[in-house]
Amino acid sequence: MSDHESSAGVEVDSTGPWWGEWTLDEGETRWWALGALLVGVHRKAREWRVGYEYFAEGTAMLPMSERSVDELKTASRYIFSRTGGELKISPALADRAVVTRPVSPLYLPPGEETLMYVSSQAWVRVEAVDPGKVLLDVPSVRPSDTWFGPSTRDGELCYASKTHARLVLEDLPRQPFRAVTPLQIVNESDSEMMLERVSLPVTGLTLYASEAGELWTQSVSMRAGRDRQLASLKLKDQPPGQIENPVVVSAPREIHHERDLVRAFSSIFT
Amino acid sequence: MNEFMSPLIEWLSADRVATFVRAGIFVIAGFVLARLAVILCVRFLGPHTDQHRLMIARRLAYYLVLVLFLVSALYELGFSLGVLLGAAGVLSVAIGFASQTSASNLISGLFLLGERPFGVGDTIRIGTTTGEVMSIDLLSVKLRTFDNLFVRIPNESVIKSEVTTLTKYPIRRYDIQIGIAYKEDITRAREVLMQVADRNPLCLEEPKPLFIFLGFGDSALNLQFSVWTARENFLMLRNGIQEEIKQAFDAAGIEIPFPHRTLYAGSVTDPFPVRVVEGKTADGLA
Repeated sequence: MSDHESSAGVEVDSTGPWWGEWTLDEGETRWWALGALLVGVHRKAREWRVGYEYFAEGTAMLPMSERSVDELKTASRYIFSRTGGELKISPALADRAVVTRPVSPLYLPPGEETLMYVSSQAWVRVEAVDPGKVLLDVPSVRPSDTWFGPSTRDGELCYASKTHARLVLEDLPRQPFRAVTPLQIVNESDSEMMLERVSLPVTGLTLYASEAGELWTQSVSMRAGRDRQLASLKLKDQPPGQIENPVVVSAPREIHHERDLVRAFSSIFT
Repeated sequence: MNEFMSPLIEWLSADRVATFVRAGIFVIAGFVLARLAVILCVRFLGPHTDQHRLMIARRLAYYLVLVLFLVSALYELGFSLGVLLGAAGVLSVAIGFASQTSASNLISGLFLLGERPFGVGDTIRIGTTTGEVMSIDLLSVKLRTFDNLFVRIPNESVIKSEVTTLTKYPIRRYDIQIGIAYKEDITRAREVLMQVADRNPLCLEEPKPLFIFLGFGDSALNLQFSVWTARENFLMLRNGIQEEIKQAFDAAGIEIPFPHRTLYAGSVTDPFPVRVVEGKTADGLA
């Protein structure tokens, strides 16, 4: 995992998983470049300092040896009676639902079902292991906000996915900072259903990692009934079958109840 | 001295003192129980209802209990309620005439509580005042403006004037009026604006940004670009996106013109000749 840190002090490219555990000595500062996110952590005897900022793609990284964590755009200090040196960086899923579009609207006739692959941005969680405290929980790239609902009065604030929902897994761009969700959509209504946007409640999903460092969530099944905007949601308990030897890397942010109907589809937005 | 005190002592006979004491106990108990009712209200309703309804419930509970006990105290003192109510009727007519404004505010306050165009905690705009509603009382609405001033607006004015609730819906649209030079390509300007919206994470992807060509202005092609955002990010988006538009227009070489005045000396004239004379200023003091 040390390949995430270059000799200049900042990790720039990754060959294995970008998450893991590190040990920091007192007075030591470490830097991580995770996607478009630059994270700096400094440990003192009784304090953790953590900062982050986003940089535009292709911009040259400044030498970090001269920089301090406090200079980053957002920096925080956490005071403890003592600090252990272990620091854990782990991936997590978004803190709101993620809205994805197919490349072009799809029609799903009554009684039909389809399997799609949806990818969503991973969050970066920095945690002091002793005492257990999450110091940072931010997206690796800040996704755009979007509104999901029947009108501008009624709906939910979500994140918009930059990638499309794909019917073939190979078409989905695979990046280390995105998690893939297999999404099964079943049209149980008696009329044709047009899929223009799908809202995936990622806050209820568990994040798994494959040996190769790919991020996946469990499969999600959405059944659209009479009201075609709402769906009954079923989250599989097992990790997805597409990856071998999956390991749980983050638990769901909140618990979804199976009986809950979620607003999942939007075919017309006015 | 005894002659003076004896009637008083007689008047304050054991019976009468007991009556006064009982009435006093009723009043004190009224205040205590009214406070208790408020505490119970907050405890049981607090987690289930919003601030506005909780405030109404608290007031109702307080005054209902208090009035009941005060009336009981008066009854204990030997006042006949029927006569009191009659007197109150006559009195209220007199007071009504004397305090028309207050009465009008009071009635307006009741309508405001019933109609509920906004609640405590909402941000509203009345006339030129924008602020957060602190309380809706029987006579006035109290606002805290963003520069931390306390503004009291009589209910009558609130009922009569246009009130905008800025925090009613979760998302808001921000309209930006932009002018571009006549030589610019409108389609290109539209593309640049859409890219700016796409790059700004606070700008909602859906509802989509709106581009309207407003018309041919005096010195510019007038455009409107409307973007949506979550209401809590409104100010941040408003500050950020204008700067980003200016930077994107500069980068794309799109000119934002200022009003032009062309001096024209007739249909067939050449441009005004300008000659620079060395060593001399305009006022002739070299």
